[in-house]
This record gives sequence, structure tokens and C-alpha cells, in this order.
Amino acid sequence: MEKESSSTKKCQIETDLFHTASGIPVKEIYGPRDIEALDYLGDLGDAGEYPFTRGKHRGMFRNRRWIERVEVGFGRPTDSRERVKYLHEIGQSDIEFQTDLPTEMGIDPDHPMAQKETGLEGIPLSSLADFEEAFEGINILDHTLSIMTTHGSGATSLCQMIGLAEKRGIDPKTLRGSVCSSNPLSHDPWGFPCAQPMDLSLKLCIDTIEYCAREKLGIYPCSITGYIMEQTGINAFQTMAFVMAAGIEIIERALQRGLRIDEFVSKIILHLQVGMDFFENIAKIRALRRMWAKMIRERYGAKDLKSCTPNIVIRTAGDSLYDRQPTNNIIRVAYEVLASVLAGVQAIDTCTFDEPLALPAKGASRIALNTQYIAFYETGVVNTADPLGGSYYVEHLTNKLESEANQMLKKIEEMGGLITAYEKGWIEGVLTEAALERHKIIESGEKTVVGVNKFVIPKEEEESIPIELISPEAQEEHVMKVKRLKETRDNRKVRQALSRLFEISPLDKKINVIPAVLDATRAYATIGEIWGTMRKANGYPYDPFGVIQDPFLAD
Amino acid sequence: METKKIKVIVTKIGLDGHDRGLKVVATILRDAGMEVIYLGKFQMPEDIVKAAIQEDVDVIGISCQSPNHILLIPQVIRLLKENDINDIMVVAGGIIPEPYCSQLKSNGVNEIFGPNTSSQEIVDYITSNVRRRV
Repeated sequence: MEKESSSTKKCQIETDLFHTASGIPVKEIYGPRDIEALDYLGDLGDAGEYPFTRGKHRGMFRNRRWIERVEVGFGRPTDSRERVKYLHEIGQSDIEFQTDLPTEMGIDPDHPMAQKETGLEGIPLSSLADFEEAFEGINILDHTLSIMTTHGSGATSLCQMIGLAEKRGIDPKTLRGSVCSSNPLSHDPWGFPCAQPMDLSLKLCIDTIEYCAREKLGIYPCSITGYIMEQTGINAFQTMAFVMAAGIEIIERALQRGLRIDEFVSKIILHLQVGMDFFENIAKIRALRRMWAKMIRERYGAKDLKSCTPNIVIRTAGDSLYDRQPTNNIIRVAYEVLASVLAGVQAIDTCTFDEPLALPAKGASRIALNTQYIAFYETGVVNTADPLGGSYYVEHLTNKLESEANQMLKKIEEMGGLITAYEKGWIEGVLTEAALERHKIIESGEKTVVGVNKFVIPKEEEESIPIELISPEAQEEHVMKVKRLKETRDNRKVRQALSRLFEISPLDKKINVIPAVLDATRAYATIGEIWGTMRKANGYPYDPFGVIQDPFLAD
Repeated sequence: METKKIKVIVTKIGLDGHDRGLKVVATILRDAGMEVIYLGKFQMPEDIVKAAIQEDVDVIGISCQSPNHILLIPQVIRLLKENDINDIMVVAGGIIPEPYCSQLKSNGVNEIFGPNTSSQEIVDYITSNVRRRV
């Protein structure tokens, strides 16, 4: 001990590194005694076997590449479509659209609060017309379609996907894709509220799960977004506990509908972040896979093994990137991709290195995608499943995170579950503490960030990178387009569809509204109109911001 | 010697919900002895200026991670001018690309604090530049 800390410099490095990001102390070396109790078949199993700690599929990436993608969403639907086409040209197989804020809130581009927000940090998908424009010239059977959104537009995005398939004469059952983050438990408790009420949103999310299960659609209607939770600054095991707790809330409600666990649970995606703490992130994913599998089989009695192992989708950590010496971010993202691959995930969405400065530029998106290709084709890490399985340290950390997360999950459940913990304000307390702590350790230099608080260069020497600026003209054009749509569509059909939706929407009627939302979508009703109708039917004001009136049904 | 506390409104603007940074800044300013009013999310320029007038604040701090800043913050400045208010400092923070920073500053925003501004820099700037009313 004495000998090792002989120089001050070394001593500083020690305090910096010898615990994980979530504060778990890390020993000098790990050995057989640290994983004494580990039972191979019970705790690990081969990849593709219960409890799936080592991976979802046999052979993992030997047999199938993960879905690689870079998020797209800006300007008019046509602007985002052009970017997606470019990404396809350079190899991307997926389409991932991030919706803009008005879409996420469930309001239309021509809403007074939306006009200056439309298309700024996502694609506007307010109606089937926007959706058609976004996919024009793209064969939707060639790609998986992912819409990253909130509960504000989860159901409408799903219906737009189905509507588009129908218009092209494609059986919606053959579509592959997902509507991500479409439940309120992925947003409201973590400080990213959509403007729509929790009770309606949650019911609507379960409606989408039920609809997809009963219609046997290939689309994944729901994801639990640990990513959003983690962006608040909470740590690995807190995230795991919250993801499990959100899962329980959703599964319980779907079961209450009379669905069997095996009918729907494999269609719930777990969407997580992989950040800079390399081993802890790997252990987090492995541990979560095991916890989820055990819960689904032991607690919910799933018979089908496929039900026990969710698709785990990763986004690299936006909050691990910095605006100083931004090209360093390429290196950070590369480590995060490597960790994701070693953890055995099903899809990776890489952040672009310019994210702390602006919206992703074209060149930055290409680098983000190439980062994944390099990991796949050049590093050899894909040659065998779960190459870190059996590592004394990784297995120890996997166990440790699982037990910490289980303790916290127990606490949440004793409180009455995730929603109660949120309503009581308990989650808010956890988040505030985490955010302040993260700020403190960076500012105090306790955590070293290269180029930010160490190895800093003068501001004038910082490289300048190309920045894509927004186009107010494109924004105005799109707002006008939506106004025109509202004038030119067959408003008699819209009115009929919305009246029907209004009738069946009250929560106490317990009717699945998706078929009615789908009818409204086919008639080119907009997201704001659909939400407004469902809100009014349940005693909420038509407009969440109290600005506009219902154009169809008098109050 | 008694000095009146500097009164600050901190707020998000428009529909952007990322408020982790804003909450941290609110705590920093409060710890530095300022009176902080946390206006929260979904605030439009009209709401912000109205609150600033009602609360008689010295500073408005606006946080945005969405490019809406370039469209909405100038409206705050315009509304302040329309109300003949020229003694409220307006500062902004978040992800604001350089070209927009210059544009916003020439528009009347006093200072913009990028992602790696230290707590001390923010506190120092406000304390030394605030236009105290007598």
C-alpha cells in the first residue's frame, strides 16, 4: 500500500478510479473466491439459454449482426427522409426516426406552442400524411422501422405505420419495427413529461400492447426506456431497479386485460444507455437480462423461453460527451459501442460526436455508423458469444449490481410500485441528488474528463466542427402544409372517426381504442385531434396547454 | 450592511423538457445567496416576461437544449423592450451553437453559458453585471 502510493500523482489517480461509476468499490484483483457461489447453469447458462445472462441468442453475433442505427429527425419529413436514404447508402439497415417535440407532446405543428418547435430536434409525424412523406421512396419491408417517441405519439405512430402499409397494399403483419418509449413510465417520473395525462397514456400504451398481441403484429409496441432514466444522472443499479419496476407496472396491467404473459412480454423492449464505465455497463446489461428472465419465468410463470429474454436496445450515452475538443467524443462513443457489443445487445444507436454542440451533421452521422462497423468487422470481438463470461471481475460485478438493484426494487415495491414512488415525490429526490452529485464530481475534478477538466487546451485552439443550422423556412413550410391538410382532407370522415373515438374513449368503458385511432389515422386525423378527443372524453381540456379549441365537437 | 438579494428566475422555454442542468444551476445560484424562482417547463416567452415583471426580478436565466432558443429567446427580449424594461439581465445556457450565440448576444442576451461553464463563472458574471435597481 505504502509502496504503491509513493508518488502524489499516483495517489490522485487512485482516488479517481478504484470504484465503479455507481460507487461500488473495486479491488486490486478478483479471483475464484469472488464468485464462489456462482452456479453455471443456474446463474449463467450458455447464450440463448435461461437465464440468458450470457446473451439472448445462441452464438450471438456469429449468426446475426446487431441492428445498427443512428437517430434521424430534423426539418420537414422530407429532410429526415433524405438523411435516412443517405445512411442506407452507407450501409444502415434500420430506419430510426426521432420525433420532434410537438409530436412527442401530442400536439400539431400548427398549434401556437408548436409552430416554432416543429422539426427542430426531431421529425414531425402529426398525421399519416407526414408519415407517407417520411417514407416516400423507401421500401418499408427492406428495413426495420423504429420510431423513437413518447407516450404522446406511441399509439399514433403505430397506427401511421399500419396505415402506410395498408396504403401500399402490404400486410401490416409483415412489418418489422418498433415504437419506442411509448409509455409514460419512461418519461414523466424522470422529468421529461409529455403533455398528456398519465392515466390516459398508460391505458393507451396497454392498448397498443394488447392490439399488437391480438393482431399478431411483428411490431414492438412498447419499450421501457432506462436510457431516459440514466440521462438524469442516476447510476447503474438504480436504473436496473427502475426498469424492472416499470416493467412490473406494465406487465400487471397487460395481464389484467386477460392477455397471457407469453402472448405479449417478448414484445417489450428494454432500452438502455451504455456509458463510459466499461465493465459496469457490461455487468449492468448482463445482470438485467438475468433479473428480467427470472422475473418473467418465476413471478409471471412464462412457459415460452422466448418470453424470458427481451430485446435490449442501446444508445450510447449522450451525457458522456462534451463540447470541449469534441472529436474526443468519437473515442468515447467507440468504447461505449465496444462495451455494448461485449454485453451482447440487440441494437445499438450511436450518438454523434457533435451532439453536445448541435444536431447531428451528416458527416458526424457517418462516423457514428462507422464506429459500429469497425467494431463488427475489424476487432474480432464478435467471434464468440459473451467473451467476458466467467471473468472473475465481470461475474462478481454482475452479481453485485443484481443484488443492489434487487434491494432497491424491493424498496420501490414496498412503497407500492413505481407509480406510487413517483407520485409520492420519492423519485424526484433520488434524481435531484444524482444530478447534483454528478455535477460536483466533475466540477471538483474528482472525476477526470479529458479535455474538459484535465489536458485542457485554450479555447482558441479548440477545433471548429461543421454545425448544421436549422431552417425556419422549412419549419414554416411544414406548418402551412399541416394547415392545408386540415382544409383539404375529407373532414366528414375525420369527424365521423373522431366521434367514434370520443364515444369509446372514457376509461371506465374499458374499450381498446387502437382500432378507432387507426380509423381516425386512415382519415388523416392529426395527433392533436386524436389526443384532444380522447382527453375531452375523459374530462380533460381538449388542449393540454389550454390554447386551442376543439374544431370538431362542440364543448 | 444589508444588501438586497439578487432575484433570479430560472426557466425552460418552449417544449424542451431537459431540466437536469437547470436544476443544478438553480441550486448553485441559491447556494450563492440569490433568491431563485424556478419557473419550470413549458414556459413561453409571454409567461416568462409576465413572471419576471410580477416577481420584480433582476435576472432571467433561460435553459434550452433544443434549437428553439434562436426562435424563442429573441421574443423574450422583444417583450421586455415592449414593456420598457431594460434593467433585467437575460442569460441563457444549454446547447447553443456558436453562430446562434453571437446572434442572440447581438439581439440583447447578456451572456450565454455553454455546457462546461463552472458554477463560479455563472455566479461571478451575475453578481458583477447585474443592473441593480434602486
